[in-house]
Amino acid sequence: MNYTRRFTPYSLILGVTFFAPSIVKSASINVNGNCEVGCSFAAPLSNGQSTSGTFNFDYTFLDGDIYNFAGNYSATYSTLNGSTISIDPTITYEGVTPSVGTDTIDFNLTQDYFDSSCCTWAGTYYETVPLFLASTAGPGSTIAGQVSYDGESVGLVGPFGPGTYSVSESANLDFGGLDTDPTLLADFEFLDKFAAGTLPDTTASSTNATPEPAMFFPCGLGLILISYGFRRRNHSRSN
Amino acid sequence: MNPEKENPIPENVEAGDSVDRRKTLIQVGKFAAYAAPFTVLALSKKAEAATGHGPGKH
Repeated sequence: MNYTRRFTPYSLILGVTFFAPSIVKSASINVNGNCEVGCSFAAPLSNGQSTSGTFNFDYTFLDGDIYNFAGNYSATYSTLNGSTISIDPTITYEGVTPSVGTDTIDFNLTQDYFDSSCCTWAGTYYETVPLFLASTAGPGSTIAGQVSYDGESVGLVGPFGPGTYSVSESANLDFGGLDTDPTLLADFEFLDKFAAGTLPDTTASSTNATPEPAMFFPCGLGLILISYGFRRRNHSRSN
Repeated sequence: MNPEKENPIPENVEAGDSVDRRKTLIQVGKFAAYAAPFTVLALSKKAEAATGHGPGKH
């Protein structure tokens, strides 16, 4: 009994000590400058830490057009392996009639990384930006995306009209005087323009359904085993 | 001579056909059972999110 009473608080302290630093919620999502997710201050990601979450909220334009934003985000940081940031937003026009005016959306997922060790954040940065815009978007609608670090873009993808796209880019970034700063700010930005006449339930997203590359190996192995089994059976019959 | 005893081939052929058909069906069934999971795996897709990554401080 005494053992249990002592063990419980100690285990709680240990749990907080070991797990709390590795799960930090520091990402924030803004739409047209308005904070929607992660608006209170949180410490940036340090070595070995990660964050993830889901979001689902509505945004109403002055002309009355309503859009829903939903998806998942995550980010990690390791001094050895570097920084990662990931998001798959889906934006849906929620109106019951075609949109009234042109609605321009500037969607940002920002994430701070903190590393006080020597020496530089400079190096090669990569981005993969899948984009989709439904053909039911109003004439002249576009979608674009990019990731920036301390204000330097890896490369703007788009703007594209309706369709499905996926672009990977890389860039050597040199942050100059900012390099001595222990903090690096990543900003995943999507610029979506829904022109007037966008039909209800029109979506723009940054996620593509792609064949699972990891499945090619087991599929190939399975086919080889099946063909081997048939050949062996036929061979034993002929004998 | 009894003509039925002289020519028993049709009955045997019919029986053989039935056995062959059953074997073929079993083979097809086994192949389908083996192939189904791999077909499901081949058709499975994953959602690709927008990602960015860079080096750690160095």
